[in-house]
Order: sequence, then C-alpha cells, then structure tokens
Amino acid sequence: MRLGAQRPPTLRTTLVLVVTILIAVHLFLDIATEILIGLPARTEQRQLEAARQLIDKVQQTLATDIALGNRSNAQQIISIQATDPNVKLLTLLDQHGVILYSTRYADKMRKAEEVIADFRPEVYSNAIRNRRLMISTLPGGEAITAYAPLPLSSALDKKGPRQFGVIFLRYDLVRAKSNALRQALSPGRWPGWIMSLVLSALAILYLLNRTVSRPLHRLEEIVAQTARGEAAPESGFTGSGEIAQLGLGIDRMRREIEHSHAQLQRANQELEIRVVERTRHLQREIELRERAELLLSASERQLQIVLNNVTDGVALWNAERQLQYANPAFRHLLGMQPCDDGIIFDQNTRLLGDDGEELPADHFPVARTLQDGLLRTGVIVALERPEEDQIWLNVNAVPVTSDDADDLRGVVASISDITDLKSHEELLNKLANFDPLTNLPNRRLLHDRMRQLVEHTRRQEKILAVAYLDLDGFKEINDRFGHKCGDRLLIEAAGRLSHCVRAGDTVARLGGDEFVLLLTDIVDMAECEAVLQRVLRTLANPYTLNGESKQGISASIGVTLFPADDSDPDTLLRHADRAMYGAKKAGRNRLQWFDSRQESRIQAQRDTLLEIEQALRRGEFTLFYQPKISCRTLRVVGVEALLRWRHPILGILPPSHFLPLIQDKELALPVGEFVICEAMRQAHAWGSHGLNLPVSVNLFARQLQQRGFVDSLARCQKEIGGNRRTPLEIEIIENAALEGIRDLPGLVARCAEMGVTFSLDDFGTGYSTLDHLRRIPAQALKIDRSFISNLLTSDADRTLVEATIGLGRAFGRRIIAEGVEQTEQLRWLRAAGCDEMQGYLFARPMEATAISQWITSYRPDPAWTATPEELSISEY
Amino acid sequence: MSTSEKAGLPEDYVTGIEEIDRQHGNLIDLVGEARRTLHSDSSPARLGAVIRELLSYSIYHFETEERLMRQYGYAQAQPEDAELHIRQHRSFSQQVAKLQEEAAAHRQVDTTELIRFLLEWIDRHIRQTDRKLAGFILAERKP
Repeated sequence: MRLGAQRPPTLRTTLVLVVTILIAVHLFLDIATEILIGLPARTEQRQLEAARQLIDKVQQTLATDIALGNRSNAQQIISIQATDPNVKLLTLLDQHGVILYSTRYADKMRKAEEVIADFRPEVYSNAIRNRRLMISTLPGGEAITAYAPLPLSSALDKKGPRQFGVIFLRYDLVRAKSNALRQALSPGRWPGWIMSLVLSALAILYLLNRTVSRPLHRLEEIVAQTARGEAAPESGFTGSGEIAQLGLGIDRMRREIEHSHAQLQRANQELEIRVVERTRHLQREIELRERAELLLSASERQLQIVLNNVTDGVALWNAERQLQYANPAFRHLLGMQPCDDGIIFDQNTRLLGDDGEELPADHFPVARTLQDGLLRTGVIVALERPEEDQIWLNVNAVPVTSDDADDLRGVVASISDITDLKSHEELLNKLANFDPLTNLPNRRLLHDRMRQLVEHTRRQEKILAVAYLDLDGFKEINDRFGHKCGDRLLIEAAGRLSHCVRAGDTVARLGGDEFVLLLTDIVDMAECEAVLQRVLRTLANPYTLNGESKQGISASIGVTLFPADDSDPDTLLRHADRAMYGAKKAGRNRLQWFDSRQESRIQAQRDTLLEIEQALRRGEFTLFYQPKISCRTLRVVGVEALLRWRHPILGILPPSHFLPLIQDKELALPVGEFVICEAMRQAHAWGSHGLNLPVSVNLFARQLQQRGFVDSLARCQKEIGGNRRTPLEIEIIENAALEGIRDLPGLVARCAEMGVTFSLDDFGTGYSTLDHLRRIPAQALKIDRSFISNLLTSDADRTLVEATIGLGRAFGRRIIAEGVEQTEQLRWLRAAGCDEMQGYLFARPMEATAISQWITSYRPDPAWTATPEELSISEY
Repeated sequence: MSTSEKAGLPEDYVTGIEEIDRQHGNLIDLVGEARRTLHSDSSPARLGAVIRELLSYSIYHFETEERLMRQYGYAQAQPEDAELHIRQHRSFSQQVAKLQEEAAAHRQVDTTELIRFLLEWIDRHIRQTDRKLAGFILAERKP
C-alpha cells in the first residue's frame, strides 16, 4: 500500500468542509419540511377559513335576499363570487338537490348529482338535516368543498314548514398552495439562510480549533523538532482523551528516538575511527603496489626488449582464438598483417607439411592445439607466398591450462626459421640417398623404396621384379681409359638404364658398376624379361666418350620376382645378386633368374617361342581350308585359309594354341606373311588348274599396322603369280585395333588395287561396334560362331544375327555365318537372307590337296532345300 | 634331399622322372597363379599373360612327355594308356585355348568352372596318367 502517494487534507479543511455540509444538509431539511408539510397545512387552514368566510358572506347575503323575498339578486350574488379565482364552483341547490343558481349557467335546473363530479348527497342531506355547515378538504387536497344550509323561504313566510336548500362551494387549494410555495422560496429570504449558515460554521470552527487543531499543532511541532534532532519539550498533555494519548505516545517515542540517536552517534564515531585506520592501510598497500609495478614494468621492459629482438617468433592466443600478443619476429616470419590472427593464413599462402605436401590451412599446429589442447613441439611446416622464397618453420604450440584443471586458457607458440637448416637437410638427404656421380638413388634409398614396393606389391597382388645388373668388363675399361672415362661411362649407362624403365620403376646404383632395377606392377616374367633384354640391348649401343666413339658394353643381370620369391628386401637383393653371378658364370651378357623354377618357366617360354620360330623356318606351318557355301545357290564360293602347326611331336595344332603366344611379338609378322603368301600361292595354283577359289586369311589388326605390310603383300603376289591378280580376302580379328591404323582408307585402297579385300571377323563379340562398320571399309561381316551355335536356342542371339544381317544389307556388306553345324541352322540362315556359310555341316578345314576332290564330290543335301517355301523365320 | 623335396611337390605327385617333376612343379605354380588371377579382379593384361603362359607351357610340357613316350615306345607297349594320355593333353590345351579366346573377346569367363577343371585335371592327370607313364619309363630305363 502506498501511503506516501496519498495527500491527506489538513484537519482544518476537513472540519470546515464537514461542518458546512452538515449545516447545509440541516438547512435543506428544514426548508424541505416547511415546504412539504408546514406550508401546505397552513395554506389549507387559511383557505378553509377563507372558504368559510365566503360561505358565511354568501349565506348571509342570500338569506337576507331570500328573507326579503328578493330572489332575483341571488344569481347575481353567486355570479359575483365567480370572480374570486379560488372559487371553482358556487351553486345554490334546492331541497331536492336541483341546482337553482350556479356560477356555471349551464347547470341550472339540473340535478346536482348529475353535473357536479364530486357532489356527495349524504353530506348534502346532513347539512340540511342538521342545519350545519359541512366543510372538508377533498381527498388529494386539490380543493375544499362546503355544504351550507340556506332557508329557501323567508321566516315571514308562514306557509308550511320552512324549506332549506344548500349552498355548495368548491374552493380551490392548488393555486393557493403554489402561491404559498412561490412566496416561501422567494430570493428575499436567502440572505438570512446564508448568514445563519456562516455563523454556525464559524462557531463550530472556533470550537474545533480550540480543542483539536491547536493541540495537534503542538504535537506536530514536537515531532518536527524531534525529527530535526533538536531538543523538544514534553507535550504536557494529561488525561485520557485521544489527543492527550497521542501526545503521550509521541513523548514516549521522542524519548526512544533520542536514546537511539545517541547510540547511533556513538557507533558512528567508532566506525569513523575504523575507516580512518583502514584508509591508512589501503594507502600503504597502494604505495606498495605502485612500487611493485614500477619494478614490474622495468622487467617487462626488459622482456619487451628480449622479445622484440629474438629471431624466434613468440605469440600468445587466448582460448577464443584471439591473438593476445605476437612479437615482431613472429609477425615477420608469418608475414602477418596487423589484423591477422596468425592461425589461418590468407588464400595466397600455402601451408606445406614436412614432406612438402600441401596441408589445409587449419593444420597449422597452433590452430590444432587451440582445437584439441594438445602439446605440439618441433612440427615442421613450410609457408609459400607468391613471389617469396619458401620458408621452413619449426613450430611449437604449447597449451596453457589453468593450474588445477585441464581447462584450455590459451596457446603459446614459438616458431623458428629453419629454412637454412632445411636446405642443408635436403642436401644431406641428397648426399645420403643419392649417388653423387650418377644422381641415381643409392643403396640406402633403394632399401627404402624396396620396403615400400614390397608392401605395395603384396597389397595390390602384383609382381615386383628385382634385377641386379653388373656391367661386364668395366674394370678393364677403367684400367685402359682411366677413372674419368669410366665415370663418364657410368653416367651414360645410368642415363640409358633410366630411359629403359617406366615411370614408376627405380634404377639405383649400389656402387662401382653395380646397379639395381626395381620393376613394379609387371604382368609376367615375359614382360620383365622383355624390359631387361631391352636394357641389355640399349647398353650394347656404342658410347661416345671424350669425343671418341667406343663400342657398347654388355652386362650380366640377375633377377628375382616378388612375391614368387617371397623374401624381405635384403634377401631379394641377395637372390638377385646370386643370379647375377650365375649370369656371369654362364658367359656374361645375359639374364639369369634366381629361382630355378622361374628360370625354367621363362626358359620354357623362350623355348616355345624359339620352337614357333623354327617351325616357321622348317615349314611346319601349313594352311587348311574350309569351304564357304553360298546360301542362295548352295555352291562353293570360296575357302577360308586356317593356319595349322604340324608339330613334330604334338601333331596338328590349331592357331588358338600358339598364335596368342606370338601375337605381340616380332615373330607375328613373318608368320602373317607366310599365311598371306601361302594362301595366295594356293589360290594361284588352284587357278592354274581351272579352280577359281577366292581365299580368305585371318590376320591380327596389328599386322596391318606394321610398316611395309602392303609392300610385303605386293612382293608375295609378284613371287607367285607374275602379273595375275589373285583375289584375297583378309579377315581382321581384334577389330578394335583397327582404330590404331594410320590412314586405313589409304591402306584399304592400295590393297584393293591388288585385289585384296577385307572382312570383319567375329562380328558381334568383343569391342566391335557399329562405329567400326561405318568407318572400316570392309566388304564382309563374319558372324561369330557362338551366335550361330545358339541360333536355335537363344532368342537374343537370333535377334542379334537377324540384326547383323539387316546391318549388312543396309551397309552393303556380305554376311558370312561360321560354325554352321545343323540343317536347321542352314535353313534359318537361308530364310533370314544370310549370304554365305561355313561349318562342319559342309566340311571341316582340310588340306589343300583334299579341297579339289571335296569340291568335285560336293552335292547339296536335298534336305537343305526340301520345303523352302514352308520355312519362315517366325517358325524358330 | 628326397626327390619330392627337390621338386617341391607332394609325395603322390612325384613321378620320379626329374624333368617331368620339375615341369609339374611349374605347371602347378602356373595353375595356382591362374587361379589367383582369375579369382581376384586382375587386369585383362595380367589375365592374358597368365593364359598365354599356360598355353606356352602346355606345348612345352606335353611335348616333353610325348617325346618321352615316343622314345620309349609307350604307344606300342600300352596303346590305350598312351591314347588316353594324349587325349587328356589335348583336352587341357583346348580348355586353355578356349579361355584365351574368351578373354580376347572380352567375354565373361566362367572362372570357377575353369579353375575346377584345371585343378582336377592337374591332380588326376599327374597322380594317375603321368605316374603310369613314369612307371613305364622307369621300368624301361632299368637295364
């Protein structure tokens, strides 16, 4: 409750207000009573009196007139009374209640009961009977009615009893009352009322002032004095009145306050004393601190001098990653702008790790320590800024924690420029890991690489070859031509070795004339052997030393393969070394495998290849021929020449057993040439016997890529047939390889001049695409035998063959189906519109000598053409 | 050092003819390599290399055995065994050649079936057919 907000009126004001209201109310009630009760009563009384007097006067006048027998005046007398405004109605009634005279002429001679509203017959009768005036106020106080008896005959008239009438009067009250009220309230009476009001108020005020205000004022004075802390007198009140009690209470309170005040003063004094003491103490403390600060700033200045002048960078961050301090060296080393925080660098700055690999900017050790709160020391990073030298830094990031908790409060970093050190280190690394003469990795680095490669190879399930190479007769060269010359030879040999191997391979120099080659990810021994043979050939090329051309140098190589030789790097090296000695012993300038099994395996491959080469020379290769039949006529339209190897032990081998072995080798060329020449020769021979049989041969696309292919073709033709053009069709396997042939259209055109055309073999398999069909100017497509064999069982293959036939038609190519073995297949192919067929259904491949005989005896089976009209593709 | 240790072969694979045993060791190595290569996702080049060596080695090895057969008149002495033996050789070569063709055409190779064939063939052929031949030859060699 907010008492303070209220503003109580003074006592005096209140009293005046109350008294005034009371008097005003009293006055009002007084007046109201007078007006409502006193005044109407008095007015009524006065009117009654007036009415009675009027009746009296009229009674006497009329009675006199009647007594004189002068009735003629009666009406006049009554009419005169009508001028009195209070007279509402004045009537003279006879003894029967008939109106004789009236102020209302219209009522004359009529019964009073009928025309006078408030006429009361019983009162009328009473008046006559009792010979008394009957006067009364009507209920409602509106008017007064009077019934006055009047003798209607003179007393002198002695005729019968005396007849009495009645004078009826209605006398107004309303008007009189309102006049009286108007008079009572007339302004002339107001001053009196106001005067009495003021006087009574003053009297009451005087009384109140004496009994209430003055003592209260005294108390107020006392309280005010007490509040001011002045000595105040006692109120001196006695008795049991409320104000006296209040005064006594205030006296008691004042005494209490005075007592408390004294106590407070004592306490204050004590406090003051204490404050003075304390202030003195503080003063002392401040002085001490100032002195300490002076001392501290001296040491800080020293620290500043140190930090400003050390070459190492020092900086401090708080836990919020805000840089608190960085000395000039720090800012310089990091190339910091004033606004930089020293944690994340601008985009132009590259952060590199110890290994030279680029790192994300937030890998800066300080940033990481701010993240995880872990101590980092000796972290080596490099910063690269545009148009500046790379700078290497050794960074320590030390987390600052509170004493009791692991709470990270900040990070202190110190960094030092180790760029010089790093370049020395690189030099040392180079000295440590590379052979200074040849710049090849040395034994030390070789070991590292081998360790890595062995792991890599094991994981990737690949093959790693470790080859130990020793130059043959290097000592003699050194002795003969001097060390300088020998060194130059070594440098040259190292360069050649590096050129022979692929990018991922390693050539290392162990010292002297000993090298090691690590060949990674090799496919097989043969590939490894091919690389190392190339190494031997390359080294054997002549050298130019001191301006003189010197003959090439041979080498002995020992090699072992990991993981077949599943040994550790040292052992692998030892094994290769041992194999190298084997090569030396076996007569130098050669390759020796460490593992006898590896050796025998690679030897077996070498032997097989040698055997194929010999087979060619010894004429063990021969061609077999398989007839091609026209679908339409079922006649023989040509033969396909198929290579066979008449192996002295194994018998006749099909090409699939040995051609893959030479397909990537030089040997493939003379074999291909043999096939072409032999086929041409045979076709020519048949021709000269009147048998005109077009021959097709199979060639790898690679063979077409060989330089001089067309020349060798021409040479063959010339040797065989002189001027006669022998038709030959070349079936190309591995269509995809055709892409690699430069100027294929040119080649095809030159072949065409010699009557040589092309077809695409094995169409539909491998990577043959529709694009080939468009780009390769072949005259025929050969559907692979696999599709034909599934023709009657696989919807998909059947659809594919149909589509191929359609394609052939669209592109104007002949379609040849191979591997036809069943009559049903034949029928289907004929119905589908295939052009040519070959397969066991007609004949197996046979020797040339058998062909003419076969052709002579060949008769198409009647079943093939039995009911051709009934056949349709949809039946299958 | 026993013969089996020298060849690195299980006892029941040893024929007793050193040249054949050594070659068998290589053949087993090769089939092992083929199995590893076919089972893992090796590159087409590696697959081709393994298949080519299988082809090459079958020519090389079968030639060795069949030459010995001729030398000792196996076909005359035991024509049925000789014929079966040679038929098994051709069957092996054909399987490998077929594999080669399929790999060259980049067709899907049913490797599981093929490896089973190669392994079963090696196992059965060496333990039965080759040991029979070796028994014949060793008997012939004795004075």
